Amino acid sequence: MFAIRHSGAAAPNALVKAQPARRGEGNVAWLERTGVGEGVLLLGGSQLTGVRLRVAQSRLRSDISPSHWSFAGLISQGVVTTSPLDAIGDPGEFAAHNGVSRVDAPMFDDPDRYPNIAVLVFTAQYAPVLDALDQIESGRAVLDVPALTVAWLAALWAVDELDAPLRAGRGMPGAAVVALAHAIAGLQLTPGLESTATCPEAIWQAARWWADFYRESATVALRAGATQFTGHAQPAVPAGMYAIRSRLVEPLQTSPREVTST
Amino acid sequence: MNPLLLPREVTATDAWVGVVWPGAQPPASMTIVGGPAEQPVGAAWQPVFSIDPRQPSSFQRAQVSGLSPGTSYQLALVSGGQVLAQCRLKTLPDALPSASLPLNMLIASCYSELRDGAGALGRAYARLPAASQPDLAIMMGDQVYLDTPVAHFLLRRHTPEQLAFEFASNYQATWAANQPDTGFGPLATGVAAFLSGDDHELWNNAPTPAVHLPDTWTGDGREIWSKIAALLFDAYQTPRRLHALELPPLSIRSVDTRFARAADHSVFMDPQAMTEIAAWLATLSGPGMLILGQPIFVTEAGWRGNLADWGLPDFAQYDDLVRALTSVQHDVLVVTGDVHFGRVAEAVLPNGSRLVEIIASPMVLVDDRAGRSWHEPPSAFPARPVPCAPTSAVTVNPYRTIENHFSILSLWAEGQAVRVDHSGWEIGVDGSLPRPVPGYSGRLQ
Repeated sequence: MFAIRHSGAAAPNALVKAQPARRGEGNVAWLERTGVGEGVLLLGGSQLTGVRLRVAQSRLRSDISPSHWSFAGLISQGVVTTSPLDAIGDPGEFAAHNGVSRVDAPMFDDPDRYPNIAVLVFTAQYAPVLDALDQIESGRAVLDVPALTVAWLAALWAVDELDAPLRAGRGMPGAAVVALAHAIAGLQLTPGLESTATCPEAIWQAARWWADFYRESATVALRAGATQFTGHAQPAVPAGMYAIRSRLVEPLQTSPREVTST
Repeated sequence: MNPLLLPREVTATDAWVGVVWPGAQPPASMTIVGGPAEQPVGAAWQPVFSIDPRQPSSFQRAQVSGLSPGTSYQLALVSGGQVLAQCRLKTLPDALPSASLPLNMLIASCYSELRDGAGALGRAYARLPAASQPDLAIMMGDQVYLDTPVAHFLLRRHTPEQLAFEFASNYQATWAANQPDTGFGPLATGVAAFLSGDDHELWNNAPTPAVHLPDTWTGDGREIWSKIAALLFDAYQTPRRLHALELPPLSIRSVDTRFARAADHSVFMDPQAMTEIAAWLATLSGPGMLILGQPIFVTEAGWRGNLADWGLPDFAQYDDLVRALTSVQHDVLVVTGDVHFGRVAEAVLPNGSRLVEIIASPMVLVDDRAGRSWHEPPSAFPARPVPCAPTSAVTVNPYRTIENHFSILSLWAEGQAVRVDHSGWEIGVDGSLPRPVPGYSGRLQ
């Protein structure tokens, strides 16, 4: 299955707001201006790898335009935890850490290379999410990041069809790490997906269009109290900021459904 | 019809048997022998419908106590020195045994007596090799199809007396034929059984009105049908809607998901039972086994539910069940039936715990138009977004069957883990050559 559900929301989540980049502003400066210290970092790349990854997620958008996003990571204290397809490094070390690596945010500072940026927050308590990273890094039983990486490299290099991994239910490595860390902390990051093929576009749509779902999640968690969800983070309606400098294609102004995947 | 002695729930030291006395007044003095002491059958008989409205049958449940763990018993209903009925059962062991002598559990659902003219089920059961013979049976529903033969119900309504006659006939044909080696007979009287019901213990897609059953078109009609069917279920199957078995390190719950189902799609089980199941799942200290009437790895039926059968995801309470299942700290084996094929699928939760679902259905298919096709599970669990529940990928085991079958789970303890070795047993045309099909084999932590 390779499809996304429509949330039924009539308007996008007002807590995810545009914060246009200033002239010449780098991504690090933009991030500092948001005041967000911990959350999900989405980036949209302009180079070949980034563009191909953005196109690969087109099917998840109602207007089938390329996604704004090619990368997802978990940012905390200026360090981004992810599994970057364009910086695998030593293969042995990569596998030993289940593909999880940490990079400094300045790596993504260049707005020409990463013209699109968003930071999204799904809970007020990121400690359980960050704690979960150790669990992901230490074993491949729940999430086999090298297997996802192999599938996506094959797609990037045109060995397989570009959208073959998503069709096969294989999420993009960085997004899968981010989603699993949230899941271990009790937070569902991709309610719109009919599969577990997590990707940055699915995370983006969750934040933009699934506010009601998260509102209900927060209510359920509060009602259950600490008993059932000990160690979990308290869900919240997603909040965040974004700057879109590159759309690849302009949206179809006449399509009534286009808005659902902006 | 002869009197019936039906082995039901067992613990390590106790057994419950159902006594069904046909027609006339039961004798004042009856005993159950075969246990450590003669057990008098009390006077607390309840009337239940029979095929003769002038002479209702009677039933009661008797508890036989003081039994030894893991021991086989041949019990007999005796009056005036005469054996009136017999049954066999085996008590549970104190704990799950070791690999040298595993506990065998038969799991099955969906038996149409009308379609088992050859008595194939019982014949296949009797031909199980010794190593596969069950110590207990778990039945997940549709042990009777009260809404068959369809022609009896299709074009006209029935009086309560007519419904009672039809349903009692159906139960008697299934349970009271009492042949030791054919049909349902060996399963009715030859093994301790933990039973739960599904829609055909009432009618197709109950409590939703069925298009082809005029008797279910009105609220009064459904209420009359339900009361008669529930009383017969209590008498021939069990009055319990929630079973608890403790076989350390394995803990087991079997819960009814039909009789308390609400037509407004709010709940499929009694809310108190849901609370108990959620609390049990949250506090598991080892692997769990949850027995349900319908699968969990399934998508919403949507509009199709009006015509076929609503599934668990079509109810709001599914969210509670999903949240409880996705919060477990130990592996949980979900055993279910209903769907007329055999399947094994598995989801690994974000915390590493596993949910393994084994489907065993049908024993004897009710209608070829309602089976003979196998369906993949959805690729994710839950298949629709559930607040506060993470989504996990579902993988499918190569095991699959659309043939009439039951399954045997061989269970043994490995320290605090539980080994499960599952085989489907395809019954074949007449049951003379049952064929094992290897299914799930794994270690639950």
